[in-house]
Amino acid sequence: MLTGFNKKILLLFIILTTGVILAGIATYKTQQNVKDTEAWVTRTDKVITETKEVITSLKDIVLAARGFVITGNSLFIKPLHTTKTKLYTHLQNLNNLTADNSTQTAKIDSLKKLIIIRSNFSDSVIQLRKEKGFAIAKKKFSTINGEHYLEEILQLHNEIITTENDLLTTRKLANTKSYQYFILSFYLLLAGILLLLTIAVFIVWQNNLIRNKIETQLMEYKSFFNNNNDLCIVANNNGYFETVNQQLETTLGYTQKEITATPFITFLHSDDVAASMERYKNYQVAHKNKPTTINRYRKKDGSYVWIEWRSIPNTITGKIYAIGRNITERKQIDEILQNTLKDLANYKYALNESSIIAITDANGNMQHVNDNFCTISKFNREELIGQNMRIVNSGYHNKEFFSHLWHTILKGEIWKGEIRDYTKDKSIFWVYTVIVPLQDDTHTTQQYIAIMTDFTARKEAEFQLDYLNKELQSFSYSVSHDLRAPLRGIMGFTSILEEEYAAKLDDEAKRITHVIKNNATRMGILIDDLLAFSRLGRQPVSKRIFSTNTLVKEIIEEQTRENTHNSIEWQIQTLPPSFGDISLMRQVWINLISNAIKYSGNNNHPTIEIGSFRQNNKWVFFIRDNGVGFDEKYKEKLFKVFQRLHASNEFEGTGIGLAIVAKIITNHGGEVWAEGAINKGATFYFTIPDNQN
Amino acid sequence: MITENLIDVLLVEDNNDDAELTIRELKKYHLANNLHHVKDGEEALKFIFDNKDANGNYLLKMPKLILLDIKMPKINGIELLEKLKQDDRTKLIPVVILTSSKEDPDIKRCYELGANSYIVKPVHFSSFAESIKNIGLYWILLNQSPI
Repeated sequence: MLTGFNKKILLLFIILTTGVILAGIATYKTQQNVKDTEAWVTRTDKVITETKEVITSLKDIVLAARGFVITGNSLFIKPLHTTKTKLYTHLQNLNNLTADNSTQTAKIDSLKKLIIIRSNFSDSVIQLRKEKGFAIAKKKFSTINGEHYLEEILQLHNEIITTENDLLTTRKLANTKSYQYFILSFYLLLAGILLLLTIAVFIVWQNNLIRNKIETQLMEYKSFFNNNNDLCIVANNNGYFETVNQQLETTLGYTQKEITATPFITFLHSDDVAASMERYKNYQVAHKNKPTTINRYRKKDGSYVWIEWRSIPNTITGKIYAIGRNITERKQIDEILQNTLKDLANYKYALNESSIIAITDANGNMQHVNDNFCTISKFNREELIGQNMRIVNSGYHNKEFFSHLWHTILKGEIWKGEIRDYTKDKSIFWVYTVIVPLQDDTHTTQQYIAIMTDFTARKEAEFQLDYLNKELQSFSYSVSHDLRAPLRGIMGFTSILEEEYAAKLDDEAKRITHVIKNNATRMGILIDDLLAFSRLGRQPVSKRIFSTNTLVKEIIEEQTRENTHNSIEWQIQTLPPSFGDISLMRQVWINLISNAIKYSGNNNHPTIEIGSFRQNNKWVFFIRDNGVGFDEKYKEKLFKVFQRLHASNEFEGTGIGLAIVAKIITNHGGEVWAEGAINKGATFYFTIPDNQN
Repeated sequence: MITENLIDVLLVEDNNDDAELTIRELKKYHLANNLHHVKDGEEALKFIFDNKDANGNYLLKMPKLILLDIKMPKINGIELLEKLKQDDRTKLIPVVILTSSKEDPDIKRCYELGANSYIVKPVHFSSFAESIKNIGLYWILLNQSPI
């Protein structure tokens, strides 16, 4: 690609080069011209020289002939032949040299003819001298013919020389001129080359500067790329990363080589492959629609990182330059946030479904009510929004009740309580209410949220229950007093019959009075037990730690004092202290121990074992006897009221003792159970929670 | 037989049968010679406080012992006990509660109000003697010749 600057440089270069070439050609041409003109000058010089030589040779011949004529000495004519040859040679040379100049050629031809004539005259003179002697020769010689020719020759010679000298002057001028042209073009050439060189050096120097600058920039970019905390990549259009930075290596745990050697699809999470490849293929469109994309890359350790990519395509090469950011942490936080939001939404939904909700401003004016609130209050939403919560006040609670409520929530604390409200048509509903003040950052209450649960039905049931309980109490009272009064009559008057009319009664009558009294006594006991049992539920349990060992020892002493049975072998372990209501627990131990005594009475060697062990972080107490035991299939009945597994003539009892035990243990939060088999004894177990629990 | 000024025992009992049985039992041991029987709390209050002599002056009839049934019409045993123990004139008279059952929760209430003991009906001499012993009224027995 050529920049404007480069274009100008190139144009300058072309112009300069053309100039230099032209200057070169001009130099060459002018130099040729100088040579040519020089050649002409030389030839002109030669023509002059040759002409002079011809004249010299001719004069030699003339002189030789004169000498011979005068002296007759043949010595003079001896070199004549050589001179003649010389003359002709020079003549021939002259012909050759002036072949291109017709004027000169004509003159030289004339000169040649005259010279030949003159030369032949000298030859004829010499011949005369030789044959007719000096006088005749002298005569001939004395004619002016010979001199005339010579005159003409010299004339011609002078003309030729003059012409040639003129030519020489002209040619020398031409030569000087062409030389000047040559010098000019030569300097031009030199200047052109120098300029070209200067420019070339300048360009090289400039390029070097630019190169250095670019290299520095490149280094910067490279360092920017490599040391970037974000993940930088260049992807080609074959599905490979071409270049990746160190951060990507660190993030994925692979080396650059490993990453670039594999198509990047292999690092993608399988769920992200489809979307990512789709985007990659239609990159140009996808990029415009959405410049960022998120996907997961597998690390060397097999885990995945979430990366958010921001990429730009290179429109020329088709490569993609992308910057990615590891957003795994953000994604995790996002996920937590999403889950939390979802949970919140679920809670809100569940709360809305389960509860009656009203949100009020700081003054108790309703801003939001849910459907349940509308339903229960029989107001529609429009009638409620903006109204004070007092709209449902039934006037049932006193001033102190509400001032305590406000006092609590104004302190920013949560108030909980039961409120009796009115519906729109003034019917009563009861709501268990939790009022939570919603505070802003400055701990100023902006809103209150009241979460209410309708318990009108329960409240009604409570009233009912209270009524029933009172009724039951008076019933119990009746039972304990009124039911017993006729019984006393039966007992008392039967006793009077026995004591005061004994003489009048026969044995059968006495047996009958005895039966009457037994039954009346049994009924008295039954009433007592039943009362005790019914009282258990109402009696509050006041727990404390007490010594089980002491309690059990006391009870055994009491029981064995009254007991007339066989002597019992007691095996009593050291027991851990108990945490419970001592008077109730005393009843438990009394009932269990007296049962054990009673039901082992038929054994000749009654043994009763009392102990404890640890199970599921609780103490389990047990009491084991080797008495008559019971049938396991009826063991569910053991702890029920009036359920007996033995006939009353076998063992005394009303069938309430174990029911009382079960009730007390249950009230304590414990468990009771039994094991046994007929004639193999019975074991009763119970647990009560520890102090800590 | 019962002389107005010599009341040893006041029996407050609405049930005639119970009263008869109690009196019979006490009689056996000659403890009922100076016994007066009233049917409820109201009668008891009248008997104790509402007496005038020949001159029209109020005269207190102070029994040495009160046997008191709890459940009675009009003024019941607890209410009567409360009144007796609030009145300085009568608060020192020993009171033994007659109850149908030793499991009766009212017994506790009576003790709180100042009852001295209780006897489970029907009254047997043994349990009566035990109560008497508990409150230290030996002299009642000593005054009575068992013969």
